[in-house]
Amino acid sequence: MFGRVLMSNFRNISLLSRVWNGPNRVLAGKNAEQKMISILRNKFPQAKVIEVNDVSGGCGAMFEINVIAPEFKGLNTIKQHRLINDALKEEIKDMHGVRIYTSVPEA
Amino acid sequence: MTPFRLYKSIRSFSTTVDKIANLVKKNKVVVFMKGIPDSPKCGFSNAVVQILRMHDVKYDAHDVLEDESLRQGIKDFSNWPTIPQVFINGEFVGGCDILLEMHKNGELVAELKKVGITSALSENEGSQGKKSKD
Repeated sequence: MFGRVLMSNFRNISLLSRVWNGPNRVLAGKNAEQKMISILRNKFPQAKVIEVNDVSGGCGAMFEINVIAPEFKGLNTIKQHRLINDALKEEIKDMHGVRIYTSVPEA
Repeated sequence: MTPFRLYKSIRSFSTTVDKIANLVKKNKVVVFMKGIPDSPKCGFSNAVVQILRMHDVKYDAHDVLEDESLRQGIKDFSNWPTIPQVFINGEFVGGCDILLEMHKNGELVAELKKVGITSALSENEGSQGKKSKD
């Protein structure tokens, strides 16, 4: 009985949050690009290039991310990508695919 | 009811981790992908299959679309949010982008050699090809 009340409350909350955040939750076209760019800007303040492009063709579930930052120095590709994955954890969850390019700026 | 469900979910999580830890060690190269090598169900998975085919590598492939617990479990296991995922000698190497880069810069041939696999694209094999060119 108590459990059922708890469950139905949960359902209401998740329904409401979906309404507040729009149908696509965190991802929605240009806004999503801008949001991810600002997250990356915060994470890599010294970055020379930060680009996020919606390459899904409309559904907003496929992105291309390009970051050139001195913060990557001394890290192999997988560690560089992990930094991006970590920063955009919530956003990537809702994507079907993401293509990440990272590199260190040339001196 | 809730504590029981919690217990169950913890239990299933740990069995998945154990299961995956075994799976990645079963072969020198192990791939977690969407679909099967003969019919991949995602462009990224297809790219990985094509790269490994070029190197003529034998590998284990696991279709995450067949098993939801594997689909989420492999992401948790390697702390990597996307599929496909490639393991060499039980170690997580990367997804499609990283494998493609390793293919381009020759790192993949070197990594395969380390575990005793001679890539069809390796330099030594290529010497025979060079001879025929001359």
